[in-house]
Amino acid sequence: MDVEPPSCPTIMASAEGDGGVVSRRTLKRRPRTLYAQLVGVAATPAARLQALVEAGMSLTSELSLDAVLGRLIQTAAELTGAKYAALGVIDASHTKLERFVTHGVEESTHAMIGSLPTGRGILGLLINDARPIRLHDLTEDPHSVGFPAHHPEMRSFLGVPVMLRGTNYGNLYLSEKEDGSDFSEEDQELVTLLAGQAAIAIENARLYEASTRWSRRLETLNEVGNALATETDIALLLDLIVRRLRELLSAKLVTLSLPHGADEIRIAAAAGEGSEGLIGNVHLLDETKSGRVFQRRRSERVDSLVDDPEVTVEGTRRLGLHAGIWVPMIAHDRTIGIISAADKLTAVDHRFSDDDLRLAETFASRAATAVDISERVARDILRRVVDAQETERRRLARELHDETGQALTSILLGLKSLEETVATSPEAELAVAGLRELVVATLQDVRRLAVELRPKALDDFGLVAALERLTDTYSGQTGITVDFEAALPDDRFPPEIETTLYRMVQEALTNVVKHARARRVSILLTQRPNSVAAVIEDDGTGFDPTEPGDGFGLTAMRERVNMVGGTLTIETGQGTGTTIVVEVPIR
Amino acid sequence: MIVAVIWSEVPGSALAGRLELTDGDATLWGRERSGDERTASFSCHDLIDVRIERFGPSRLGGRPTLILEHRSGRLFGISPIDSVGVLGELAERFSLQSKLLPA
Ligand SMILES: Nc1ncnc2c1ncn2[C@@H]1O[C@H](COP(=O)(O)OP(=O)(O)OP(=O)(O)O)[C@@H](O)[C@H]1O
Ligand SMILES: [Mg+2]
Repeated sequence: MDVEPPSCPTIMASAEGDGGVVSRRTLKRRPRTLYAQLVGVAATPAARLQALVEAGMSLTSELSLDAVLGRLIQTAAELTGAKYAALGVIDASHTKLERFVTHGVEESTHAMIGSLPTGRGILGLLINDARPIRLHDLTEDPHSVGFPAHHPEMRSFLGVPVMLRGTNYGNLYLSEKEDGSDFSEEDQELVTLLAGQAAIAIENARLYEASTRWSRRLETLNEVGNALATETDIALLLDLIVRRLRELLSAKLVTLSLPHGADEIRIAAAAGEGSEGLIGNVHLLDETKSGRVFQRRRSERVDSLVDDPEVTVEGTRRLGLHAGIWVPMIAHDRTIGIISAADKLTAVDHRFSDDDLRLAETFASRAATAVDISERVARDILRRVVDAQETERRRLARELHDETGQALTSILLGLKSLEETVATSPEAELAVAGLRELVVATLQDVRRLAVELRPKALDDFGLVAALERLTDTYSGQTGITVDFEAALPDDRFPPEIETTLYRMVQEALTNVVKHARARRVSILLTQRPNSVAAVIEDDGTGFDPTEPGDGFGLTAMRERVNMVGGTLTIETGQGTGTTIVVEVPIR
Repeated sequence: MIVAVIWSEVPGSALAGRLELTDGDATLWGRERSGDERTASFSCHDLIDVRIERFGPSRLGGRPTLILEHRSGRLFGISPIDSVGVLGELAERFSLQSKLLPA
C-alpha cells in the first residue's frame, strides 16, 4: 500500500440533489492520525481496529452527508487495500440509488462513463437483497450486466449493505484488492462495521435535513402569516392564500372555496395549472369532496383520487390530477372555508406527505383567522355604509314628505282660495286650475319619491305594514298578482332586520318584473325561535344562477344578508320559477 | 342596463316589464293587464326627440314619463318603477345615444 495519501481523490455523487459533488478541500481535511495509523501497520488487526474506531469518530463529527460518505469509502478502501470504493445511497422509495459516491476513479474517467449507476445488475441485487456479497470475479457473476464504456476493469468485489435497525440505507462496494487477492471474511466484517457507522451518519443527515426543511417551512409560514395579517382586501387575501400555499406544498393546483348560501360552496380563489375558469364555480355541499370535508370539519389526505368515491371523476380527469389534500378553514369554531391542494409536483407519485398535511393545517388555521378578520372588517364597513345610506334616505324622505309636501299642500290651499276670488275671469280660472293640477301631480311625485326612498311605515309600523303597502302598489302598477302572508308571532323586529328584509323583498320584486315574466308572486314571512325568514317565490322563467351576469342586485342582497349574519338561498333553473329564501338571525 | 318599467306605445295601453339598453339599441318587453305580451325594439340613432313629461295625460302609472319619438313617427312612453333617479339617467342616455345631445 502507498505510504502517501492518495493524491486528491475525486468523489462523485448522483446527479440528484445539490450536495452531489464533494470538493477536494473537504477530503483533504481528513485526520492525519488515521494515516499515521495506517502507514506500515495497516495489516495488523489491532491497528485496523483502532483506525476503524477513529474513522467512526471522525465520521460522526461531520455534518455534510457527502463529506461523511466520501470519508467513509476512503477509509474502507485504505483498510482493505481496495483500489476502488463506492457507496450507493438508496432513495426513500427503496427502488433506486439516490446518490453514488466513489473513490479511486479519476474525474476524467467519470466524465467518460457518463451517467451514474441506476441500480441494475449486481448493484441492484444488493439493493433488493440486503446481504454482503464477495466475488472473485465480478464479470463472471450471472447477475452481472457488464460495465459501461470507459469503466475501469474490476474483478474482485465486496459489497455490504449499509443497515441500521433493519433499514437498508444503501450499500458499500469495494473492488480490486491491490495485492490481487480476493476480499477476505475479515475485510467483510470490517467493512460491515464501517457500514454501520455510515448508516448512522446517513440517518442523522436525513433527520437533520427533515428538521431543517420543516423549520424552513415554518419560517415561510411565519412570513405568510404576517402578509396575511396585513391584507384586508378579501379578494387579494384569498388569492395570496392559494398562491402561497401552492408554493409551500409544491402543489400543482390549490383552490379555496367559501360557503355560498346554506348548502353550496363557491370556488373563491385558485392557483396553479388549470385554475383558470375554476373561480366562481358553485357546487352543492353534497356534490363534491370539498363540500363534504367542509361539513365534516376534518382534514383529509387522499393518495389516489380515482379510488375515492367522494371525488368527482370528471374534474379530476379533466385536470389530470392524482392525489390531494383537503383542509377546512376554521376560525372561532366556525368553518369559514375549505382549502384543497392537488398533486405534489416534487413527488414521483404526486402524493402529499403527512408533513404536507400538517403544514397545510397550520397554514389553513392562520388563513382562516385572516379571512375571518377581513370578513368582519368588510362587514363592518358595509354595515356603516348601509346604515349611513338608510339614514340619509330616511332624512331625505322625511324632508320631502314633511317640508316639500307641506309646502305644496299650502300652495294647493292658496290656489283654492285664489280660485274662489279670481273666479270672475275664465282665463284666470283656467290658469289657476292648470296650476292646481301641476301642484297635485308634484305632490303625488314627492310623496311617492319619499316612499321609494324609505317608507315611513317601516319605521312607524314595522315590516309587515311596509310590505303590505309595497306589494299593493306593486301589483297595482304591474298587474302581477302578489300573495302576501306574514306568519309572525312578533310584530316588530330590530330596525336593521326589518330594513334588510324589506330591501330584500323590494329587490326580489323588481327582479320579477324585469326578468321573470311571471304572473304571480308569493311572499311569505315566517319566524323561528332564533330567526325570521322571507320566502319570495315567482312562477316565471327561472334562470341559471351559476351564469355570471352584469347585475349587482343579487350580489348586493347576499352581502347585505351576510352583514346581519343571515343566509340567502336561491332555488331556480330554466323554466322552473324562482324561489329566494332570506333568513336572518334575531339576536 | 336593464330597468323595470311601465311603458306604452302611445297611444296604447300600459305594459309592465323591462327596458334593456345595450350600446345603441333599446328593447322593450311587457305584459298588459289583459295578459298579452308585447315587445318593441329600435335603435337609438333613429330617435328624433327625447323628453320627460311631468304633467298631463302622458304620465304613465301616475309618474313623470320619458317620451321617445322615433323617426318613423312611433312614440314610446317609458316610466321606471321603484328606482329613484333612474328617469333622469335614462333621458340622458337616450339623448347621448341618439346624438341629440353632444357626448
Ligand atoms: N326572479 C327572477 N327570475 C328570472 N331571472 C332572474 C330573477 N332574478 C334574477 N334573475 C336573473 O339573475 C340575474 C342577476 O340578477 P341581479 O338582480 O343581480 O341583476 P340585475 O337585476 O340584472 O341588475 P341590477 O339588480 O343590478 O339592477 C338577472 O340578470 C336575471 O338574469
Ligand atoms: Mg336586480
